Amino acid sequence: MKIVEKTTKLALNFNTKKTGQGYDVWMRFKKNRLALVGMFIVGLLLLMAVLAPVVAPYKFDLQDLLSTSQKPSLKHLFGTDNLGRDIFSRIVYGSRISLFVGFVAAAIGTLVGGALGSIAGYYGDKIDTIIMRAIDIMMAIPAMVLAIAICAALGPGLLNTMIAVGISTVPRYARVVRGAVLTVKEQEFIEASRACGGNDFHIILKHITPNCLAPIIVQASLGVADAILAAASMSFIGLGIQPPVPEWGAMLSAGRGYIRDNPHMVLFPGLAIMMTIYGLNLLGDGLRDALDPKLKR
Amino acid sequence: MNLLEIKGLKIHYITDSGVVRAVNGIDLEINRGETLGLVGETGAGKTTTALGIMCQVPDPPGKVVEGEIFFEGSNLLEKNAREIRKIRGSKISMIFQDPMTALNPVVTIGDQICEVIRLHQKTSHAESIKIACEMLELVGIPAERINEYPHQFSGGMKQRVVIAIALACKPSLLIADEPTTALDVTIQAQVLQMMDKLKKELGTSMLMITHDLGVVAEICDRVAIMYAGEIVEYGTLEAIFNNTAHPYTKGLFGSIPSLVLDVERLSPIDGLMPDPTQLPTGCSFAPRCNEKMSECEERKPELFQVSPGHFSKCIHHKNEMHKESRGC
Amino acid sequence: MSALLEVKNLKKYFKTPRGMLHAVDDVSFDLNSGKTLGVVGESGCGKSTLGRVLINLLEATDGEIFFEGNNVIGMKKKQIKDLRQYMQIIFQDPYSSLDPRMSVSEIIAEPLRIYEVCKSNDELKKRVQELMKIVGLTERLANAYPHELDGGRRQRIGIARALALNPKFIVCDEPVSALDVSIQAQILNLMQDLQKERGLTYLFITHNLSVVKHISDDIMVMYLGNMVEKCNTKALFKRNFHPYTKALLSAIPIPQIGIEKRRILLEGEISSPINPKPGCRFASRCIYAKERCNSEQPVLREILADHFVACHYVESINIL
Repeated sequence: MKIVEKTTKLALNFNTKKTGQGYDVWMRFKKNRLALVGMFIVGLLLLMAVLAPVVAPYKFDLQDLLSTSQKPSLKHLFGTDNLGRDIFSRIVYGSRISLFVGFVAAAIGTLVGGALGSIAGYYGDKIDTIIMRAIDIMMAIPAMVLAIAICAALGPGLLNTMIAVGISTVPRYARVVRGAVLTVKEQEFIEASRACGGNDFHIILKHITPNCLAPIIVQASLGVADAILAAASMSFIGLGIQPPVPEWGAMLSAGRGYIRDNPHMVLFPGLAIMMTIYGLNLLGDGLRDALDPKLKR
Repeated sequence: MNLLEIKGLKIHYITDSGVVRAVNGIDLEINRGETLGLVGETGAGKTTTALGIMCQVPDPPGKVVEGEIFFEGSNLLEKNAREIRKIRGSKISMIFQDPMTALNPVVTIGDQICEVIRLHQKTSHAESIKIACEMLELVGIPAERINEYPHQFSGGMKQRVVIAIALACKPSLLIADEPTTALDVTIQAQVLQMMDKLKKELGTSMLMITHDLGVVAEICDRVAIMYAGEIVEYGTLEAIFNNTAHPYTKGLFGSIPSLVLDVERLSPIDGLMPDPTQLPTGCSFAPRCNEKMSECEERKPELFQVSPGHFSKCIHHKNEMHKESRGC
Repeated sequence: MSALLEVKNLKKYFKTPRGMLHAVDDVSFDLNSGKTLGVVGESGCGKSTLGRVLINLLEATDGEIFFEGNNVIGMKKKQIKDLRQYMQIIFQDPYSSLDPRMSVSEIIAEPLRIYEVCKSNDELKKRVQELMKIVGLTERLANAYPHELDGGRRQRIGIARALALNPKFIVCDEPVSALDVSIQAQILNLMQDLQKERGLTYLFITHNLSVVKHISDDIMVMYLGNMVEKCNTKALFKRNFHPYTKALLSAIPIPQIGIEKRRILLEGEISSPINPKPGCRFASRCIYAKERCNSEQPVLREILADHFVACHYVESINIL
């Protein structure tokens, strides 16, 4: 249920936030074929996640010990794993986990990083120095290592994976948002709003945030892909989501031992991860070009 | 023979929202040693015309649809890229509006002048430096500053450096696109006077693109008024200023607050420039014109001669002239 | 008639890595209600900073600003917010001064919303429509976005926003310099009409002398943060005394031919406003400069009735 809520909210955001220029953006976006492909893939994944019980022929943890390690067939589209669980169903249910982790981790990164970045950018001076130097320290540690460290400290599990991946991406968002805020802050309409009596809160909420939205959306859509990948990697090394939850990375890890005889056990989860990342990246690139035509030309 | 002759030039930009008719069939000529002022408002097609002469219209989306540009007798539009490069910078140079961005910030001004010289002339390094020093002195910058970087110069000084680069190869035509708009008035006065002096010394012809009729009065011999991609009036400085024919030109003069006379209220031109993707079928100025007749909205006016060498593109005015001549 | 705005020894310094930048240095003037004071000067002379300090967008370093008899400097935040209703600003750049994510009606409604002037949404809508009509914007543009409009229309939106709270005093920071001449004249006429109808007081900042001559009652010439000459507009164009004013006036290209021009060309580099040396700031470019000009800063003196000049040698340069 949670997944559904999250995803629809995000979709709504896309539609309502830019009604004025939304049409222009859509026209530019529409012309980019690859972006449309990306949107199609992501749409399909979302649909799959939402309708998992309908799409999946079996339950994800249903073990059929009589038919273990079967090759793909009509009965089991992607075959079965070493415990006789249907891989197709596991991948379908896994999309829920992956997308959920991806979106939540990206949301954590966006919110925390966005808040830090906008405060640093808007107030400048000492606050800026303190926040950005802290961010610099975080950036000095590779994101994956940071995520592993956080996860190791908090312990494995769905929630902790999301927190770990989310926090490890904070520096990136903070820098993007700070840059955007700095350029918007210099514009005269900020001064105009102050001349009309607007206070800091009003200005950040009404003027700065809407104008910084484009780079944030772009960064977030690309960030979801990164977060999914990071979460899969964490699960692969056993720090992330624990079995029997059908996480794609964990599935890869579990199938690793059988790669010689039953390559389909790693092939399909791997393909699923690849397609998801590919789709999200295409969508993100398309959004970037559509939202900020200046960047491209 | 004229130095530059443009015949029926049309430049269009093909964009998603339609075809922008930036330049819509203009004829121009510049004689040797003469300064022609090209006056018009934002979006009139002045800069596109200049880019057309330099064969630098960004393509896509820009395209020279029709027309000929004769420079020293040969058609520039028929030349290949190599021949054009040879002409650009040596025979025709251009000065851009913003001196702040026209110079490369990491190269000394001396090297930037030398670069142009060595691209077009076979000179030794030492010789090119000598020429660069001369050019700097010519534009009023002490030659000792040759090894300094652009950021060490003020705005007016930078524009002088840009002019020095443009004149380094002694071009026969200099295109100046709003060269003083970004400068303060006192600096503008200095630069204008220097340009006038240099033009006379070097015998360079100049195409002066500007929206400031004051600058035109100061430096130009002949004036072409541009509106919505067309030249609506064309003539000598005296003819345009003292014997204004076209309603748009009259409107321009009425819009400028005078320093000499005391005017209580300005008389601006109503309305806005037409959308260049949807130009009116008749006279493009008709929707804003207070002398328009029904005929103006139906057919395109042609240039007619008001007095020798003074042309205007106005049906109403032409009719008036005819009446007068018949009356006599 | 008492002055609407009284400025005394106003100073605004900025801290820069190279030292203190004296953007506005010791400027004093009075501005009567319903009048227009033109502030002229070249880029970097501190004219925009002056405008922003006056309406409290920037904090003054030193000095006093009396608005209707109350000192604005040292007021509490709440008082300043109350005062802002009466002091507004129109910006130079009609492109960056409007939030691209807001529609025309939203932009105009912003100050009304902040001050909660209107009780209901209908009233707000009516007020916005009224304002649009005043500045000559058709109603159907209410839902348009700034990027769909041209410079002239955008500037009209800026004016409507400034008028929304019925201000008494408006700082106009180069409101027409980014516009084409034909549009510029439309906006200037609009501003004059508004002044007449509503008794507005303008501080008109510009570098365009013909515009300032057209619209101002008084003119103040600034050079590197200092006020060098101030007097009635007509008087200034007839007789001006400061060497910089003379050079400035003679430098304007006049769109008329056959006018005899005596041009004074300035030589020398502009001195830096950062940690300025004592003495007259114009001295390095002044043809009349003597030793005293480099050591002692000239004070503003009343040379003729209501005509102020800051120059040690006014009397010897001019015949009074």
